[in-house]
Amino acid sequence: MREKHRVTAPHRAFSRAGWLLVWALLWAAVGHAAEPLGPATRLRVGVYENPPKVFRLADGTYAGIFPDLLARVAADAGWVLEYVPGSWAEGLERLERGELDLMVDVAVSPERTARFLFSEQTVLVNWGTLYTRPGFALNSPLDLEGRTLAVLRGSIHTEGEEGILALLRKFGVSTTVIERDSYAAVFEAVALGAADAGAVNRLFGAASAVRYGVRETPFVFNPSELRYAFPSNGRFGGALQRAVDSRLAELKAAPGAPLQTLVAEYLERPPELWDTRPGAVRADTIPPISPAQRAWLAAHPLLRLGVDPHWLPFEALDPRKGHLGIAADYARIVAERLDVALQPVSGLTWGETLQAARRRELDLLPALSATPERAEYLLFSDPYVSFPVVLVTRFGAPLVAGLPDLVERRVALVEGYSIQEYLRRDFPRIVQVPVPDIDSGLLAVADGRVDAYADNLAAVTYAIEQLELGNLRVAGTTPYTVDLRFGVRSDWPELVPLVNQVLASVEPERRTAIQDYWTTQRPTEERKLTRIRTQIGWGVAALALVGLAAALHNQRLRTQIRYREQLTRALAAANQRLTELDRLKSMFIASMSHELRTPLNSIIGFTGVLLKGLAGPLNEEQADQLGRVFRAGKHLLALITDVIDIAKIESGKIVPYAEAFTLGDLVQEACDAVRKNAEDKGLALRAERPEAPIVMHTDRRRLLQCLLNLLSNAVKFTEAGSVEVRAALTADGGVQVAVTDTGLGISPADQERLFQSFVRLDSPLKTVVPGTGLGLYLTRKLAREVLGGDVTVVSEPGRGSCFTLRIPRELPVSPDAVP
Amino acid sequence: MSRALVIEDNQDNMKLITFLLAAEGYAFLCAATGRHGLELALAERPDFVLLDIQLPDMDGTEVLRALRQDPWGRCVPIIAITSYAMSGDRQRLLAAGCAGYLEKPIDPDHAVGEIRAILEGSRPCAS
Repeated sequence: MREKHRVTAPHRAFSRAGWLLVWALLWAAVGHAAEPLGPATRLRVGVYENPPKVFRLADGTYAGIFPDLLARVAADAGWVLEYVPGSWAEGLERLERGELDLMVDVAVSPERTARFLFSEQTVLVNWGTLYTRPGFALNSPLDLEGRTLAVLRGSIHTEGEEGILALLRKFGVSTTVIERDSYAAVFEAVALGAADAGAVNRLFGAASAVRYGVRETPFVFNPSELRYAFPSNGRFGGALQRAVDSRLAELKAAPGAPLQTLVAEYLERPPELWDTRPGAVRADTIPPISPAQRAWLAAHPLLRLGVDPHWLPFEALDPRKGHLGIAADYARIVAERLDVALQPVSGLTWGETLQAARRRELDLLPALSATPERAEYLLFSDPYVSFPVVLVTRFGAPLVAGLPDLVERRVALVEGYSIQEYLRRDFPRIVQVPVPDIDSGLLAVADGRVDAYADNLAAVTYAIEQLELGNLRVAGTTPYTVDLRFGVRSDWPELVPLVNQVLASVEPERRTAIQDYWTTQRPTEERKLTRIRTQIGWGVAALALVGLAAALHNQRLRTQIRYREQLTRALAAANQRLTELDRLKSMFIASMSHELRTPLNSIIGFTGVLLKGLAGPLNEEQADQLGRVFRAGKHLLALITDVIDIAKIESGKIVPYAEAFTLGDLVQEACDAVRKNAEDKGLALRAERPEAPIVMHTDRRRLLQCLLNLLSNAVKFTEAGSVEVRAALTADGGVQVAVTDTGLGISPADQERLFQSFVRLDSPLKTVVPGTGLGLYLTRKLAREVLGGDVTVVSEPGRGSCFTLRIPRELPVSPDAVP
Repeated sequence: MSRALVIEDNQDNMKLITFLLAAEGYAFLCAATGRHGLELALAERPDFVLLDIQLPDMDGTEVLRALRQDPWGRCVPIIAITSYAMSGDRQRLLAAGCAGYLEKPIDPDHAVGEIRAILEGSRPCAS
């Protein structure tokens, strides 16, 4: 049949339909007998537009992860690739009709597996990911209850069987869904606050999140394997699929993993470059400058820069570090590429900077938006970065969804910012409260002096985090965006095209890197913690101030004011230190669990491997010494575990988990755990089970922990005789478990101290009894604060001890339990 | 020869687990992040997965859930590696579709035996 194709060209007169007929007849005659696959075989490859996976280059050829990979496979086999472009749906239809030999970038699904043959090898795995606006913590899909979610209309990640909508239905979450026509529009909706979260595929998300200021969540769904698809009864039978697969497998396994490298080369670039081949030549980075322009620049070698001293991440003037921020980075590029020097003028507020610009005392202002007022004395470059303007309010303040809600109310605005002009024009009835900088504006909202503060999203997010203002939130949106431009003094029009040329020449990677650097924030957890501490801190400070004011009521006014000022300062300083200490302590406990146990796990694990002889035989001395390391490691681990448990109980971080079980089984489990130690010492260990099973509904693991502590103590401190456990119902409907031993006994004085932490009673035993000194302290804490009961002891020195644990059968509901 | 995928960010734990697996004749693939693990699992289709629940980039249970959404991943036995499981963790993990779990510190005497027992006990999946 390949022969038939070759003679097509000379017989142009023969209609296409005619050839199709012949082809079809031949097909019928040959039946399903496979064609041979060999060098010079022409393959018809279905392609469409979906960078970076597959896209058309200017010369009409196709590039992207799938075509590039296929080109390597084809080159090795000598095949000739003939690309057949079309929409996604057309491609699949052609493939099904056998008009294509293969199609690139098809996600495997059960339905498609029935229609097509897929390569065994997966080229790339894609999945859906949820992104949220800053300030909305999404830890599970349940957090979407009552929220708004932006999705891409018609996407498999939206409507597919495992798409986000199906998933939300499965979780029974009711969410308002708004549909958008592109992933970019989905992110825009999230960034502007029209949606709390957005669902996009991971490729788009990873590449674009920073630009939109949206946050990645750990919530991923609908993973799909992207592979090559073949017609189920194609002209090569299964031979083409097998040939492609075996070559793909080689490309995966070969040194340097060429397949993975090729995929990474495409993905690890900013999305602006996704429709180009990695390594392709880019435009010259130095903008073309005419001789006239050169002459102008030579005559103006130093430009005075007008800077907002306090507007990060856009710009700031630091006494030590100089001009900082997104605008500063762009200004530096302008200086480099135009070969001019920039001199930031310090000591001015933003309002004063604008006045200085009006007087022509400044030449270039690298971070401002164009407004009619400013146009009287400035010319503007093209915008180089853009962010939406949002409204900030206090938590608990009346709802402010947008500017109309703020009519007749007080809104803080930085003196001289373009938003002032917009509001005067569009919302004249909003009461504007000018503030010198963003920090003053946010503090005014935090203190309740104004109802809202308006500024762009990036600056607001940055400042709220820097100031640790926990009671503020981004509440509403405005129709405005801040497009940042360079402002040029209006009598220097020559400079504008020069700046524009440089801005246009900034490489997309560099743009992304700059924005990435200045808008990437600290990890969420740390921020959340800080926020909570800050809120507590503000509350304490407020209460203290009220008390202070009352005490000073009768003092002379002047003294009162001076005192108050001093004390307020002292209080603020002390409060700051306390907040910091409290934060450190909580972070320490929070990280302790993982950080302390992780190295110990390695010590215990590898010593265990060595002791077992898995890494080679040990001599007796080595085994003895390693055994000591192993036991010491286990002891330390037990100690740390107890300390962490206590810290968790004290900070209220233990969340009891109730489950149903029978008390007898649990007692049995505890006895089994200490049986070997008891037998080694020749002790009788007896468990008396209750007559009828006692069904419990409480925290099984914590109860077991208590019983194990009591039992192992009893075994430890008893040299001869027995240890007995009795479980029974109590008169009040609860249960009690009594552990009785025939050991040393405890004096009445010592019984008082027994349940304190790190108390080790003087032991008349010759050997030092191992233990953490925390066991009983922890047991009582667990019994009282988690299980809702208590542990008591009855003992007589020399006769033995009886520890009794009494708890209710049901886990008590804590009054401050979170619903 | 049965092949495992170990998803674990701690290099020591990774070495320990893979050493024990190799000693028992298992082949293995390694991933240090949840995303890489997910990708390797779906692309390479190991016979079972050992999954650390505390991962740097995404919660292990998210990896588990994502795998369970895949037609192939729906069936692969997944064994969770947890540090000091709290009350309720076991139920949470089993409910999320884990075949079983290993608790850290990994006990060299029993770890592979436990893995084998979990694999034998895991219900075959109708696919």
